[in-house]
This record gives sequence, C-alpha cells and structure tokens, in this order.
Amino acid sequence: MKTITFIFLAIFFASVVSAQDSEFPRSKKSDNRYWLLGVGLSIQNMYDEGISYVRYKGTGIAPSIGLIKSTEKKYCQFLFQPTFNKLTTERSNELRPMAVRTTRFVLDYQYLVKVKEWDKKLKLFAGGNASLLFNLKTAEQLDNSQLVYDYALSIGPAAKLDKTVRWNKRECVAAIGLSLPLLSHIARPYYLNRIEFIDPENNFLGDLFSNSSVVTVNKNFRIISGLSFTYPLFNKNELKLGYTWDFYKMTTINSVYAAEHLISISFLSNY
Amino acid sequence: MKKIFFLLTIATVLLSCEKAIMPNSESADAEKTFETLWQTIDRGYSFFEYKNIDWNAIYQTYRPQINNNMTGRELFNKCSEMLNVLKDGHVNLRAGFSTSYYNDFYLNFPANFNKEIIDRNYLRGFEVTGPLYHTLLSGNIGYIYYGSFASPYTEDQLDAVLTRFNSIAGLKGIIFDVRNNPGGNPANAYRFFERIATQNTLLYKTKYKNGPGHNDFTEEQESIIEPATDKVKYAGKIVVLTNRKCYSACNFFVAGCKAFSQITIVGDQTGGGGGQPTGFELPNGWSVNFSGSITSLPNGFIIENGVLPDIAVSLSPADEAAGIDTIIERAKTLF
Repeated sequence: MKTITFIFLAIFFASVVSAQDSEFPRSKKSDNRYWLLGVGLSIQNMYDEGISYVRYKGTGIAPSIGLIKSTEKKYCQFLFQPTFNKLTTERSNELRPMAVRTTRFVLDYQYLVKVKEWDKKLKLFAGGNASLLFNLKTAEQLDNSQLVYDYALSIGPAAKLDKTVRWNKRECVAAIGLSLPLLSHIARPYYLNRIEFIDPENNFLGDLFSNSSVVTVNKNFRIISGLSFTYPLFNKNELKLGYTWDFYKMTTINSVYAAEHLISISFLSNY
Repeated sequence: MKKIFFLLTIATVLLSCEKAIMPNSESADAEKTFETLWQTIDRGYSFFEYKNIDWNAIYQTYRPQINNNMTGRELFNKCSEMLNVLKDGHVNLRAGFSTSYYNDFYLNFPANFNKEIIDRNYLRGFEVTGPLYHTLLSGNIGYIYYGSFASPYTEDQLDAVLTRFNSIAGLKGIIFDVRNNPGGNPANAYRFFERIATQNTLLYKTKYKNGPGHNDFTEEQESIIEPATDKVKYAGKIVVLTNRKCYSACNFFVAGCKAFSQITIVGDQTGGGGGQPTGFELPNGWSVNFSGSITSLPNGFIIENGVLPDIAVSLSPADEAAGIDTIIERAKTLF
C-alpha cells in the first residue's frame, strides 16, 4: 500500500511540475479535455446495522483518476475514486479492538448541459449522473460474518453552478455541485452476513449480487454534493481543490448509513 | 467575503444534515448490552426449536439480574451463564478480557484419545506433509492424523500423501484419525472428499436463518461433492476415527463421510457443532458468536449434537495403561 501511495504521489507531483512548462503541447481541439489525477483525505462516518449499533469513524487516503470534457455548453466527467479507510470508535480498546477496514470504489459518470447563464460569470449546468458504488467492509471481530458490503449502481439528476472569479490575476472557477441518485440497483449481504462456507461450491464473488434489487430513494437515499475551486495553470492545465460530501442510507434487511467527507487536490492535464 | 461565507454555510448545513440523519451509537451500559445480546440471539440463533428452548423464558430469568451498576466482569459472567443454556460450542461471548465457551459436549464424556500413545507407539517413524502426519501400521495399513481443520493442506500435499499410500503394494486401507480435531474450515474436508468420490455425492443439506423469526429459514441447500478428475485419487477402504472432541468442521467432515460406502466411522460420537458460526458486535465492543444454520444428513438427521459412529469403540483403560489405542486396533481389524 505504501508503494502504491508513493508511486501515485510521485506521478501526481511530476505532472504538476511539468504543467508549468510553456513548451508543453497545447490542445488543438475546440473543447477542453483533461485527464484528472488527484489525491485526497477521506473522512468517513458509518453506522452499519449489519455490524453493530455503534457509529464508526476514521480517515484514509483517496486517490482519484478521471476524464473531463467541457465546452461552453456542456460538461462531461468520468471519475474513478477508490478510498481506503480504517474506521473505529471511541469505545475501542486494546482488549477489544473495534475496527472496520473499508475499501470503497466509486465510479461516476456525469453529463451536464448549460441551462442558464448570468453575466458570463455565473453558469448553471444540469443533467444526469450514473454512479457505481461498492463499499467492502471487513470487521474481523465478527469471524464468519466479517465481510459486509454495500453495492449500488444508480442514476439520477445532477447539477453544477459555476462562478468565475478573478484571483491572483487568473480566471478561476468556484463551483457547487449536487447529485441525487433516484433509481438504483443495490445489494447488501444476506441475513447475518452469511457466506455459505458449508457449501463446497460456495462462491462469495458470485453470490455478491444474488441478493440484489432495484429500488428508489426510499431504499437507497444518496446525496453527493461538492464544492470546488479550479485554478488555471499554464498550457490550459488546471489545479482543482475540492470538498465532497457523499452520504447514503441503504436499506435491505437492515440499514447502513455512511458518509464520506473528501478533501482533495487534483491536477487536470489538458490534452 | 460573501462568497466564502456562502460556501461555508453550505458545508455546515451538509454536515448538520448528516448528524441529524445518522443514528447515534447505542448506549454501552450493562442493560443495553444485555438487551442487544438477548435480541441478537433471539433473531439469529437457529436451534431454538430443535433444542426446545424457550428464549423468552430465559429473558425473564436473566433480565432482572442485570443492572447498570454491575461491573463488566459481573455482566460477562451473567451473559455467559445465559448463553450456556443453549448448550452450543459455537456460542461464544468475547469480551477481550475473557471469552465464554460451552465445552460440556466433550468434558462430560471419556476422552477416547491419548496423543502420547499415538506418538510413541503408532506414529514412530512418521512423515509430516503439511498438517498431515502419516505412517504405515503393520506394514500395510496407512495411518493419517489430522489435528485441525483450521490448518489447511494443499492439493499438492494431499497428492504426496495419497501417492505414497497408492504406491505401497498390498495396502489394505487407510485410517484417517480426526480425534481431538476442533474444526476449522470445511473446505479442507471437501478437498479430501473430492479424491475419493467417484460420482457427484450429496453430503448434507443446510438451511440458513433468513429472518428474525425462530423459524425463518431459507430452503434447504444441498452440499454436493464433485469427484476430482485430474488429481491423485484413492479408491480403497478408509476408516475414520472420531471422538467427542471432534467438533464443528470436523463434525461436518464426519457427517460427510456417511455419504461414502468405502468409509467406516469408528470410535465415539462426535461432539457436534452443526450450525455455521455467525457474529455480531454488541454496543460495548464485546462480540457474540452463535449458530445461524441447521445442517442435516440426507436422511434428515440433524448433526448439531454430533454424528454417531458406525462402530462404537471406547479406549479401554487397560489398553491405555498398556500403551494400546483400542480404537486404532479395532480399526485395523476392519481391513
């Protein structure tokens, strides 16, 4: 894990440094296309009735990679964001370590079009968002019930409000975004988080989605909101500071509440 | 400044929403911990009907004995006492400073196993392949001792042991000794069964808890072994030795042996453990394990309280004193 983190950070900072090079080839396309490479701090809170009736929290690392394509009239973003956290509670002690390791993958596709503009400085984009969420949790203290997961493939409306602001002699963009999945295909573990070890043909991966269903917001309420500040570099490359709040409550045989606060810095490489 | 204030306001509102929506942790006091423990077992334990246990009556007995002035140790002792009513070795309360176990399933019965005798008089000159200790008895009977299903053996290790015995001219059979094997992973049993199966073989059927009601179960699901096709196989007779300390995955192994006509089970009844262990965490950080399924043989016999041997044999005190394992000696006569 340390090696992966090191390589990721090395690529990130190497990209940022070279982005200031004026010899860097520029995009000749009419639209703006970016590779996004980011790293962030993830702060998670969780209350999972499949594990216990205790609220867990913890921090972890959140790299991200994505593609952004934008024109004057549309904004399109594809983002892959894994996060790795270790959650615990204030009730944990050395004798009874209460720990849950989470590996969370989010794959988002967002397509927005400009619906309103005020004075060329304030633009409202609206459209749709498709999001794949898979959150695998390991609570070793539960032995055979230790693997708990939340899966949701969702679609719903999304919107973004961009405000152009001049800062440090550059045209920067402050943005507020919101996404609200309405229809989802979700899966959670069976009752008691059982994995059928007794069955010689037991296939945990194959069984992951066998307990799935299509639901609306009453069974999978998720809200993703974010604030970002994009600062232009040379060669149309950009640096983006962001804060994202991603909350969901998923209900199957029991409920899970999970919230992630993500503070990130991303380098947007124009191509 | 206005913009910054606006953005901070939005962020604060979002954080407040989360605090309002997400439930707080349940109280970690003794009464709440007891209530959660009782309720967890009530909703998840699989053998209430089979064992004819009135769990509500158990609540009425123990609830008045719990109060928030108790120490953690006192609470642990009371909860453990309550859980022992279930008479299930898969039910454990784990408090960190101690873990409760029910072990009368073997303490109330003769051991029928003396490792010293086996080491000194039967395993002398043994070979070790992974967790499998093996040797030849009387020059023509293979003997394997497997002490824990928690110790996995690989396909190659099993190949090596079976190849050894297959290469011995005039081999009469193999004794597979799983006495004092407390269990582990049933997959280690299936690896062995694949080597002796000649056709798809139904081992047992399992139904899992799928709801909070005492009789909320899935349909029975069959555990079927498919014969290995490209691995070393063994086609001869096998005698499996058992005692009361043969528990959990070992109990499943012995139950599976019933499906093979070439296997004879000799010794004492197994200790049981026929439910899949399941866990949940209590509000104070303790955790509880309990059985969450029911497994039965194809003929309907539930294996929770153990599997009967085909030939019941006990270790005779006189033999033991003379360094003889009565059960192994009886097994040798079956080839």
